Amino acid sequence: MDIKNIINTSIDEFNNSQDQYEIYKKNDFLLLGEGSALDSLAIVNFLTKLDKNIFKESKKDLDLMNKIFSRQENKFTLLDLEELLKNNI
Amino acid sequence: MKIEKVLFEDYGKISELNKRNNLITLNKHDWINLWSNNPYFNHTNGWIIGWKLLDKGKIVGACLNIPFIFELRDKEFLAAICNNYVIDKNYRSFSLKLRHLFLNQKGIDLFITNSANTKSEKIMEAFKAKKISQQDYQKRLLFIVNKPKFLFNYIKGLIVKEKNFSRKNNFQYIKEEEVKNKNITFHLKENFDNDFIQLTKELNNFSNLRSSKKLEWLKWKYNQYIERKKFFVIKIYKGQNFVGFIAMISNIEKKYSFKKLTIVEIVISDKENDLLNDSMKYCIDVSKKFNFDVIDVIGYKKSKRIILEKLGFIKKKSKNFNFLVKSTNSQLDFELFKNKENLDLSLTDGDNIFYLD
Repeated sequence: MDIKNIINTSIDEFNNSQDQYEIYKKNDFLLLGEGSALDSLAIVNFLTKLDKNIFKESKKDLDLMNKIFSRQENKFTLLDLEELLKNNI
Repeated sequence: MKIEKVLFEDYGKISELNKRNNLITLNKHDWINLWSNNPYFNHTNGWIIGWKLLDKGKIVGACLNIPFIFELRDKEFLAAICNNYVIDKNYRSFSLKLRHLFLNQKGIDLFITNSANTKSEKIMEAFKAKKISQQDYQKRLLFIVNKPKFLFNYIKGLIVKEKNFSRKNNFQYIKEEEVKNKNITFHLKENFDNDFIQLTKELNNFSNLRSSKKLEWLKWKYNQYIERKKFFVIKIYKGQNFVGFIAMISNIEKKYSFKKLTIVEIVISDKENDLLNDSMKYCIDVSKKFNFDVIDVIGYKKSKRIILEKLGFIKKKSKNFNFLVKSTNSQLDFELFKNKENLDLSLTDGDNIFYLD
């Protein structure tokens, strides 16, 4: 399964679903933490789309939200997301 | 940015946070009572009363955590009730971390919010919480006692958007009384008494999931209303036997300035369900006698709601009554998410019950 591809598909779906926020496909794009351009609902919407796309591909219910927020670090980038998925799928 | 446990000393700063975000704060005495007199909190160590988000010492977010006990068929379940979930605008991306901390406490069967707006509903769902299956939970039932005043104030409320109604509480306080109707006697009281200890023992084998009706829990939950004489309970006797009760809180519907009686407990053994009809008729009599404009009921299972509708209660959809639960106990999954007609939850099963005033 191409994790990068699933993330990019989910970013496209998120960006096309609304006009207020845009996620850039850059490794250092900050999803969570001080300075993030996304609010809580935007993050939820993006991660819900990603969760669905992962389930479609792998039939695995990852409970992504809990995995991400169980981490101790305050900041979470697209690269961190990719690493987390690689370790959990 | 730091997240720390909330302390009682944080009351002032949390009030300021709420004020900045247009959220109501209970007065200090009632706020501390949520934990200090809570029967579970008092018998345990280590319950966290909430989490606060700090920026250079300023509280910019909070999520409070109140313990409830739920009962079902002689078993008890520990629930965490989410309360006062609020974050200043510039810090909203941190709100998810607070929600995560609330929803990932160990040893808890149920995580509940019954005061979620659309936004926090989506957040709860992303963390695998689900809406309860209870039929028509979001449709409150209203009985219009004073129809002319109801219509006048309703139209006035639609036209006059500013809340500039007079807020004088010209309450005619309900007085205790005893009314006999054939074999049934109703005792209208201002407080719970020791008879409730025996009743709740007899009703212990609840066939519906609900928050504890033990006397210590009832007294804790309604303390603020009892102290202000806004609480009333109808004790229902069949012959000499105390078989159930209906609890009510008098309050003001602010938008339309209605004097409202909110029914917060309907506890009658399933075997005695026929009594509900007569008891509700008595409730309507009380509301007429003491000049209420409207009676309000939120929640309750289908069989109870049918009785109320037959008596003239009308349904009104409300966006504000979202009841979401994350359950870690598979024994409760059927009750919460599949038992559409028999789930019997109401305002009293979450933190909405503390904000009727």
